[in-house]
Amino acid sequence: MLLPLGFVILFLLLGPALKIAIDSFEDEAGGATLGNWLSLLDVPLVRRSILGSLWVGALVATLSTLLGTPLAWAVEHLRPGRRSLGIAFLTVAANLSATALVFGFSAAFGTVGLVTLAVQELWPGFMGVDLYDPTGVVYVFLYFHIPLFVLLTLPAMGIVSQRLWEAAAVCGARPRFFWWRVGLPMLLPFLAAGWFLMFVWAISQYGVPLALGGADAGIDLIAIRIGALIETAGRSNRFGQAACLSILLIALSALALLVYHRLLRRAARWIA
Amino acid sequence: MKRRHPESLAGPAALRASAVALIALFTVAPILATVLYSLATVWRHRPLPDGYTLAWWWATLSDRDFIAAAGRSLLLTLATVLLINLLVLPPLYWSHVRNPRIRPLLQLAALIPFVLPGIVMAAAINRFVGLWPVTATLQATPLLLLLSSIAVSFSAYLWAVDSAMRSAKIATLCEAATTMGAGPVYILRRVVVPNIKHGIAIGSLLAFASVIGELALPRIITGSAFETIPLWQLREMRGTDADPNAVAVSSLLLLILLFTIAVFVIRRGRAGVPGIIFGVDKG
Amino acid sequence: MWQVEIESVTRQFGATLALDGVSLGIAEGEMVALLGPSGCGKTTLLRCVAGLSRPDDGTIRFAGRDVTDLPARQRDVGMVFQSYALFPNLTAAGNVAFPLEARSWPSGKVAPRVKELMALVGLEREASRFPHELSGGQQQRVALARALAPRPSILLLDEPLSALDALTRTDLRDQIRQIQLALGTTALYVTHDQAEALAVADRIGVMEAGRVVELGPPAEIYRSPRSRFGAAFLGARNALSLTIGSDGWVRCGGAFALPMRDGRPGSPVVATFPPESVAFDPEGLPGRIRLVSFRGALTRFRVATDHGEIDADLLSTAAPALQRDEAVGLRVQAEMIRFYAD
Repeated sequence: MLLPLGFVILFLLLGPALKIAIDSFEDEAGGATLGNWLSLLDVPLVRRSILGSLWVGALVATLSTLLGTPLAWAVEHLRPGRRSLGIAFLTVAANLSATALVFGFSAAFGTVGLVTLAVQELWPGFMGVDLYDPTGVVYVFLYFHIPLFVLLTLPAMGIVSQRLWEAAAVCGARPRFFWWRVGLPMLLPFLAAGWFLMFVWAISQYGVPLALGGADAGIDLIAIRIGALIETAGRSNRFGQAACLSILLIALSALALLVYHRLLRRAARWIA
Repeated sequence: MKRRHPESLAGPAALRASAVALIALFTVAPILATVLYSLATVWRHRPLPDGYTLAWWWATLSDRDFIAAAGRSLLLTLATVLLINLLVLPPLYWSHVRNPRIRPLLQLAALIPFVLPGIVMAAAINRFVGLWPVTATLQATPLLLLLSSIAVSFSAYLWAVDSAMRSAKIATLCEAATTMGAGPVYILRRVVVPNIKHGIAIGSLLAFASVIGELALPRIITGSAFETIPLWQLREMRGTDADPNAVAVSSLLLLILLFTIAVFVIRRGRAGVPGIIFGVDKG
Repeated sequence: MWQVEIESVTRQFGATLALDGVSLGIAEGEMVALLGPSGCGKTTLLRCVAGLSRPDDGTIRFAGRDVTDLPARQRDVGMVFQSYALFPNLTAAGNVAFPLEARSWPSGKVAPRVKELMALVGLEREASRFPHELSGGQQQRVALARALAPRPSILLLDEPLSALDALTRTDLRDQIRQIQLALGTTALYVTHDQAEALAVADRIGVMEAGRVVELGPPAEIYRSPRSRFGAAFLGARNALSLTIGSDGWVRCGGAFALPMRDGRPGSPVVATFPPESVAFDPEGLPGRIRLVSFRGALTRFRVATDHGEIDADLLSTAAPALQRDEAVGLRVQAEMIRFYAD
């Protein structure tokens, strides 16, 4: 039963990951070396991509959490019919393909986009989003990270229930006291976990920054740098730095997921 | 006199409604812009196009490259979704009904693709199969692309179906059916599948969406040798012969496909949205 | 003066009238149980008293003061919910301290009060546990302690035992009553379980379709329910459809014969009587035993007669050794029979 799936996991996930890990310690001739790792930070482009990924990941995760939380609350408390429709919208927004997303986003919010031009009619100074600026990536990421955050935290919003709210009211608690002592502490593990998932999700994005122009457009992210390094390396063995960056990306994701898991261990019980 | 009713937990309805209206607007704007692009004759710096035409639709739908890419994308995606179903459903069913001990293992497995980003996997899989002469023949083949697609996109499916099985209490249902003398095949067909088909649909939808839009895997593994729609779109967005209107048309086709499935799947039930606690065992 | 006074309270949800001009008073230190099937409006009434729901019409007074428009948090009530509604992120002690902190008690007074309450409900050792680490009965005791912590003038209990298993239920039931009596708290107790209501309450109000159809001390309404609904809901009473004879008497074979003062001869009546008012008597109404069910102190016999099936409860120590299908005669204690127009 487990065998075919185990095969896929072993030979298409774990094996390749291990191979990459070994690659990161091999020089071009196949000998063992620490050179790839030691030289990693010497390359300005690589250094910039690491900082870029950390910055974009943290910014996108933070903004997704801040904007997604009230939105998730609102969606959770819609009437069932509208709620399903809202979820359908969010699912589509969260799952748009990278190319369609970048195209549609620039057609709507870019410097000559539909929304930008419409706003300019009312407010001539408005410039829209400069997608080819490195921060442009953040806007496009937010477009699908916020819906994803909402979808992921939706089940958690239900735990702060009308039942507990009423229990608090009968206990003599004002709304603010309820939120301070019960509501927020209950939601916090889920929101923090959501932050870490969004971080992981953001740093592993490749399609969207590529469609935005990738390395040529000055987008410095680990994933883009890996792609560029692979393309220049071809089938040769000059793979060391790409391997190092891959392992770095894996380690970052694993660390964030570990924190995510810890955060939810106790709180997961609260979801009935 | 109408009495004021107690403060509600949910907050002012108007605030909630406007938050949702905002997201709807935000979601719809790029789609609307894409629609206008696909219908515009010329679009100079004004909010709306100068004129409308269906020419782009005809041109794109009769473009050989596009048709070929669409065929490849659909074939790849459907094959992936089908194989994910065949690969994941049996062990998941087994973990719920017979051997709960393998469940944590499956949940861990579903977390792995989260840790291994698509671009990393694309590079790594290519390197890995290159290790042995036998498997090296797989390099740059559509078959390897298919296998990789399965590996990176089965987890959403696993989570959706796992939660469906849990909320349907599949184990109890199966026990009940067994005491009534039903055989395993009958149980699977008449008890298990009908109760989790919503979860299967959601999981398949998520896998479908992620594979059909995937850029990293086809770009790194096969490149132009097996041009999928996203690769085709990427080519049409850049370079000297860029054709934004064709990109608009193809994006819309995908979107219509996806949205139809999404509405169809999600409107059927309240549950089944993969939430944040997946992968975290409640035990 | 009533400690709680409910005056013609009406509440409507859409097309259904949940409360139809209910009036009820609760004296200080008294425990009143609201008894009725689900959907009869008892929980809605409780929520109106708590301030969680506002009546469309009518008035609620606490010790003479109109609280109808007062929000729940200002009402000085304690409430125990069916589903416990403990705050999962707080420990048992944290839950009990919650209403005190919400009311801004000085921190020096909170801890001793919490300790006192944990002792009152017998959970001193579980104080630092989280709700999910406690059994259902323990959780509900924490909820009771939380409700009582700020010394509310009124305690409200909404089906507090229905999520618990049978043994815990009777245990906690008696504990709730003992604590309520010891503290002298005025209490309103909502339940659908008549045994529970009979056991804890000073008075019982039976509700049907948004009205209180029966109100009185448990023994009294058990013995002689005024309404047919109350009769059906209390004590699993037998109900036989009979006809008033031409001489103004109602006869049921050899089981009983009673004169009806205010019935027209020939009109139908329903006679109800509790199972324990039935005795075996060879001269009585003939029947055949359908079921013998041993219930500990009592043994129940279900007997098929010409007037329908009749249940008889006999003390097990005094019950004859009868088997299924044996023929018996039945007699009913006349003073336990109540008639209702059909």
